[in-house]
Amino acid sequence: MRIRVSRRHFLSTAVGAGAGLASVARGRCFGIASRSPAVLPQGHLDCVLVDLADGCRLRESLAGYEAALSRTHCRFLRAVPRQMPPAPVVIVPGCAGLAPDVAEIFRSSAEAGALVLVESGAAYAELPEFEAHRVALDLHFGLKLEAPVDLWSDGRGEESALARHAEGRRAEAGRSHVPYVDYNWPIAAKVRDFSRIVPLCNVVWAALNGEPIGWAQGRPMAARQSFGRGKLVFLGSPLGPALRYGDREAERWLNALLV
Amino acid sequence: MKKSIGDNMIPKGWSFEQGLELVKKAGYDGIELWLGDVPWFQMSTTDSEIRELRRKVERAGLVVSNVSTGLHWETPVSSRDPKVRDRAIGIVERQIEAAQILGTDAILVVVGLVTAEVPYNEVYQRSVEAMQKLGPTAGNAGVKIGCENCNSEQRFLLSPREFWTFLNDVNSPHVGLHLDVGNIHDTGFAEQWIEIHGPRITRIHVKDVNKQRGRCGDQSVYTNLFLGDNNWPAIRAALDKVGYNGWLVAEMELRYRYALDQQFYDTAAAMDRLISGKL
Repeated sequence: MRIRVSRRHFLSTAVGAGAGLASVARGRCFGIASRSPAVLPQGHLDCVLVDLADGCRLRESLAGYEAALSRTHCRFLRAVPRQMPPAPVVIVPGCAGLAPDVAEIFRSSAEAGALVLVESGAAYAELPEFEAHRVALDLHFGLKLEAPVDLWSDGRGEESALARHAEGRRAEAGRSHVPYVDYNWPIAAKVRDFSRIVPLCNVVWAALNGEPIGWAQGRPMAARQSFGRGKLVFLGSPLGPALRYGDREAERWLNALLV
Repeated sequence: MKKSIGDNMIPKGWSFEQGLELVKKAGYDGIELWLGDVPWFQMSTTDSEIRELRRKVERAGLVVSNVSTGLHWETPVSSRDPKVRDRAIGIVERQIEAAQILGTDAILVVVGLVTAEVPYNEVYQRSVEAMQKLGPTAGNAGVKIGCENCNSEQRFLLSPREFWTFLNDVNSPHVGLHLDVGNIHDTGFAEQWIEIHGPRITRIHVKDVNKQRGRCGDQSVYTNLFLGDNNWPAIRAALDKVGYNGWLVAEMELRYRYALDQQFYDTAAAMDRLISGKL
């Protein structure tokens, strides 16, 4: 609760755009990506959902967050990064391409008191794009990423379904993979994995003012990190698709983050 | 009703022309062309090469009944990877283009693939969205997309009512059901699928199934017509009831070990009996 008040205080004092505005309905998206802050409807924003356009590698993740936010009481705006108004929560779904000035916008938002959620979609990018993503997150946020991991590389994914079809093998034979990512913050939650993760390197988290908050198959792939008055939350496993396809734990986790 | 058989049944090492000759001689009216499954019809096959395939089919006294593909087992429209989904859509678009060139009005698509990795809810929504996107393309080309019921292999749309709901959600007159009466196994009864879907059926694959066997190793559940557990008199009656007068397309998984061409003759004779209704 304290976090929520703090973020709202940030919003009302940092920029005039959010202050003294007319009351608006909750659970409603106010904008489209190209709309500038100057023509935004007058009202208090709880969240900005960032559309990175080509930099978003998983459009269905963006759609998932949008759908989930629409089901909450959250007043949110979908915006492109260079035109995003201040808000206590900034969500960046499916992030792969991250231009330096855009990364600085996110960092400045966090330092000013926002909670910035960067969800990596780079596991679905080509290698050069992933490498640029890794460098950008290190340079601007100090996050050290490992190479993407295919959680289903033991051969029980789509390719093996084909093989099973061709060979006539029973699909159920020898299955042992547990298809969940475990979070311990802001609440404990078990969310379906999305096949590939971007794990975090083992680092001295205290030195980074952060700690891991999520694991997949024993690997840390989500973390939170303090920046100035706010924080950065990094997800190395896409959560948006789970929101889109009705994973109740994913929705509970997001709601807890928004409070 | 007219009889057809897939070009992927043509024995390995035979040319397309040799296969067409056999198909005609065995008494079929048409041939089903499988994109990606045979050397003469690949994604890289050009429009002019497809026109040449049509000429060969027509010279043999046949027509193309429909364009099918097995490529979506490897590249499903329900994949989590957007790049794979794009490729899957491209395959369907190529099928539609090829169908136009080949002078047929139906294609077969295996629309989604539920796996331990990619769960049902995801597969359903992506499949609906893909078909909603492709429906108008098919309509503009005068082609119908027949989504095949591969019940056990897809683990998707397992009952006729579920399939009905799926087609309602797609909501396109250009997207229907390519019914395979052998694929239903012991999850239902082909005659009920026919009755429920009636005019939404674009084509029908025929083969028989040993419902009690189950897949195990390289053992097939499928067998030749009248050797398995399908209730063929009921299937024939259901076809009458819904007024189906389109193509029956033979799709035999189990191949003859010797006298490979004999299967074409035997299957054609069985299909004649089915069409005649003398069962």
